[in-house]
Amino acid sequence: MSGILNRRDVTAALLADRGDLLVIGGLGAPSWDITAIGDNDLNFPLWGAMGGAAMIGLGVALAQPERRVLVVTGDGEQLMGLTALSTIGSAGATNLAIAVLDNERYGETGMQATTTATGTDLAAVAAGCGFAGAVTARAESDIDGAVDLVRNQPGPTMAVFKVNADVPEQVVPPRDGPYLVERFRTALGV
Amino acid sequence: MSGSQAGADEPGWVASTHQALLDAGITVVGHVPDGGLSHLIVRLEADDRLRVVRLTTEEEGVAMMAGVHMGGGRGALLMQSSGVGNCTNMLGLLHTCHVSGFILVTMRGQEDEANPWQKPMGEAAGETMTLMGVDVRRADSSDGVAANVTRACADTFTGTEHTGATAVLIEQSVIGAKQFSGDDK
Repeated sequence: MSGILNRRDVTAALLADRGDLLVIGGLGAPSWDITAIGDNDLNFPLWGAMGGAAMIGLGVALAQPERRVLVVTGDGEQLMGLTALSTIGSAGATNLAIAVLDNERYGETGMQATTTATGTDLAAVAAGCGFAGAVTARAESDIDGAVDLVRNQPGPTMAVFKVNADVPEQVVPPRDGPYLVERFRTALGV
Repeated sequence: MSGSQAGADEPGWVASTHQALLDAGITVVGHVPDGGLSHLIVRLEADDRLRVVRLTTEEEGVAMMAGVHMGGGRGALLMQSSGVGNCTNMLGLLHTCHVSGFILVTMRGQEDEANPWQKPMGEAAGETMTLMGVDVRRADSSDGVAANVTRACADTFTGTEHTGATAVLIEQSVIGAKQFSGDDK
């Protein structure tokens, strides 16, 4: 059954008081979502590389072990990179977390159903791959605990947020790849 | 441990290639195993000067290299030639975003290949990477592997000629063709 949560409300909660949090946005709506909350030099919003968001996050997490890394992505993007959950579950990055805004649809291509609509439980997959914590948030009252898991608890962790199929305003980030990489590196001081 | 102990049957290019990766400042290595890479993987996994990630599929390593670069590290990806096909779309990330990263590929599907299923991707691996914006070198002698790795790492991490990833393909003649039960060679 598809979700009732509002994706922008969830994203705002995920990024509240973000401090020096490093954020990777998965291709499509999650990149618009993190940008709507506020573009930031420490955001890396993807315009491609579908299925790669979580592994980009792992790479950043291994290179910056003292910093928290949060991947904000969608169900379709994470499903394409499902094997990455196995890799991440074994890689020992305690500073990495994944938040999936799961509307059970491919929102950028016409709202076709994904396999989370018909049984795939991403939090269960993550748990089965050895994540330190993995939850699914369905109700408003679940949001705070799920946000705490991905913002503050030892990783790798995953929170799946069952969001509704509403399509909020498309707030697009810069799309120049070298610029996005270099502003991130410059903000990190590397 | 430093991973400096060579196995008795270790090919001649392995120790020098291990050192070349260290000298290039590689901090994170992702791999999907290949028989031709087995000795190098043993060395790297025993070396606490860098981090080794066991990938489930090769394209994960491409994305991971992008993240390592963004975080100020230097990433490498080790795989066999068939894995290159799994990486094709993700390689566009490195090209589009000018990501530095080094790829080492052991070749299958060349002249002495005993498994015809390895032929298509073996024959296409180098050109596939070239098409996707990776600067490709080929090492056709054991003595030449480490020097090519050093050059390719310099090109991607510090060079000004090439923006994006670089690769070295180690030819199957250097690795030796895999033998199968009953093959009369």
